[in-house]
Amino acid sequence: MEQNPFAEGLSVRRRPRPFTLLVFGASGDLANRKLYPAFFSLYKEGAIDDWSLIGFGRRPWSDADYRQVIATSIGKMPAAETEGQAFLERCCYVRGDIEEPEAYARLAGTISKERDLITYLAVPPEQYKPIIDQLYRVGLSNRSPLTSRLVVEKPFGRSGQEAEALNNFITERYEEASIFRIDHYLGKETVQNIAVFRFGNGIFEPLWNNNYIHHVEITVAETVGVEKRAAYYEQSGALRDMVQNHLLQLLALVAMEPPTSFTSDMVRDEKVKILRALRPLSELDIMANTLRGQYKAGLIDGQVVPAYLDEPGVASTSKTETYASLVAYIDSWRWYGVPFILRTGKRLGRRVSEIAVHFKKPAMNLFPQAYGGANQLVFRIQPDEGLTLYLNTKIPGLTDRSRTVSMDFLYGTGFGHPSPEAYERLLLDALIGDSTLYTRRDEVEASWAFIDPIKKAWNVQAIPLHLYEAGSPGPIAAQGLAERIGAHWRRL
Amino acid sequence: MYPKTSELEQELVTRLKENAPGNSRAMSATIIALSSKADADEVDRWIEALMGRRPARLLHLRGFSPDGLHSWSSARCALDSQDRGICFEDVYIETPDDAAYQGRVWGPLVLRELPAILLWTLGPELLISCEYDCSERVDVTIINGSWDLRRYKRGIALYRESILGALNASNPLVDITWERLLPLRYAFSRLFDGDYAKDIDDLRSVSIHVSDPWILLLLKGWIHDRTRGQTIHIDGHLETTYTEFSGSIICDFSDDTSAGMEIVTSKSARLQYRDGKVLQISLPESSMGATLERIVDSPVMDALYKRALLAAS
Repeated sequence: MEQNPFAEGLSVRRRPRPFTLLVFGASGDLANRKLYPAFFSLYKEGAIDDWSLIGFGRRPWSDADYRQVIATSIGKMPAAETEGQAFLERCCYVRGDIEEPEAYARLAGTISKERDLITYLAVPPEQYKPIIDQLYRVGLSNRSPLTSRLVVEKPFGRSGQEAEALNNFITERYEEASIFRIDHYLGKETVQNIAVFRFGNGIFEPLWNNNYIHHVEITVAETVGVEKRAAYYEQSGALRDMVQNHLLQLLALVAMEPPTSFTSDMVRDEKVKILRALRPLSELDIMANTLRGQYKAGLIDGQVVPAYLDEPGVASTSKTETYASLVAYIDSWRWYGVPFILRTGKRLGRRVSEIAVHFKKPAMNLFPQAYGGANQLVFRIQPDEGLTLYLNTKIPGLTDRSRTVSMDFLYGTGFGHPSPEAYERLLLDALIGDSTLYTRRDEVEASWAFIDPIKKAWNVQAIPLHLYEAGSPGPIAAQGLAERIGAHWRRL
Repeated sequence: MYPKTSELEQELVTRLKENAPGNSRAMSATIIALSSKADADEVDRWIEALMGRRPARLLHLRGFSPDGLHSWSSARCALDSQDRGICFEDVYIETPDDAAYQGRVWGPLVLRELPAILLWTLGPELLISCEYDCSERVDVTIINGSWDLRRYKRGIALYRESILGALNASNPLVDITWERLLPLRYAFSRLFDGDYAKDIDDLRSVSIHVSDPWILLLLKGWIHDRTRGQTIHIDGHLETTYTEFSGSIICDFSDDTSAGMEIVTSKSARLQYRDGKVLQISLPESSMGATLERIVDSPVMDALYKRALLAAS
């Protein structure tokens, strides 16, 4: 038989083939905070069973030292005490410098020749090339008939040109289908639900166009500052750090056409069409439709926080934006004329990630006493993952007045179990080889093609850098940006 | 005499406010448990396993009670990780006759917009005719085949016939025993994953070792159905060394090689492949709570169950 008939009807989760997970940056912050806990969760939940984990790093660690590091990383998780030991026994460490060919030869000797290899680069982007090149030289990037996949973190280049060069470099060593560019926003439950909501329900899709939608508002607001990432952030700024990837990915998911099937390439084909249909911004457009800002000192959660310029590692004359907002248009039949307003910033008053779809008002107002706005549908990505639909309804009693009420769906109240961490879902997908929630080369390059002219104009032109108080909703001038398209930002 | 459902509803609102003064999670289903007074505690234990997993309204309907007519309601909550109440609304109705079972009594207490799940413990004969309006008022009926069979005096063959009769009457039916076989079926299926699928062509005999006759019948039927067209000898052994849903299945192939699986704990199984490879795998959860949770989330019948029963002749 070709297919296993006993597997039919078993509603159990997808499962990877036997694999080795190879982690570069094994002692780093990302591996410790996200990767090891996510991997242990998958183990604990029975999603993986035939595997080994190899950490690669410069530190002179033994396997026991490495296991202790992982034990600390997962130590506070449920079941760490009972199941942690068996988990740790499958983890080992290879010491070496990323540019040392002998280290890779040792590594190749350690990796099972009967298992797929998934290499996770939890290292700064400047280390991608030497690692990938060495993996290629020792034959670990192509192990046919076994699979060899590569997971890389953002940022994927700092411009379209860099991204293209990096893509060329990697695709000379790995097949495109084996490259998993992670955008952790795509692993969040509500983000995955956008497609289910749109294409799994019959009632919204007919309204999902320029006949009924006035504008779409995408917000990713953070209360944190640059923390320990000043060196990176100074080179990046909000536009590259957030808009080029997270916000444009959200935009693509909200706006894409229905794929003919929910396979990774079909979904990503539709997303890239949207990214390519983003109307390029001319210099005049950039002046009128984009805005950048930088936080001053202020108050967050009762604590006085410093200005961006006073953060450790930030140049005192820095013009790096910590806030970015813009109006984008998609030149497609469905979306022509519908503004998409995007904003993101650090040290804003509240941590909110959401997509608000603002519908047009009824053609005629039959209820002049009504205090109610147009209908809105809000996808809350964090916190309080869920959906809210705002409707107008009559106020009970002898009055003719109406007001807006909300129909709320909270993942936390609708389902008993918490949503898995985004990294857990994404890691499992990489282990299985499902790249639906990962960004493809053409998506990355199309995003940069939209962002590059904005960044260039911001760098060379006299586009003001608006200061805003930490803890505020952002620069006051951002209101003007929304008002020009007849909108108001939702309250943070 | 019948209980006043409107008063029970009002009482529930009060109890829920008392037990979850803050936020409680939205209800997910109504579970209607029909049982005799004598079986009530056992049935309540099954449902109790859902506590903390899914909020639900539970209708505990007990007929032929020696204590006469009683009805009352209560609410209780477990707090989730975000301190939201995952609540049970309990309504108890006991009657001296079969009035508690009648749809016109409990029907108005079913939450209209949510799945209604009938837990049937009154034996297979009444199920065939779907007495007490079950098909009219519920989305799916649950039985617990293994438990049911132990109380059934007419033997396993007639029990199987009766369940098939109920299935043929088009009532969506879920057997908790079948659902809880998920880990066993899963572990067995893993023996034939990927490249090992071709081993099925060489399968000569299968030996099943479990503790329960209903489980044995279902597994035999399932393997027969999945290998239809092949001549495979399947024998079964009831062994007291195994408990509930544990067991082992050994496969012999035409070249005298063998493969097999054994449930080691409720969470893991040991597989030995035909080529000698040994693998310890994690199993999906099959506790009563996890099983009821799956049914509440997806109250639909598994077509393979009927096929397994048909093939188990």
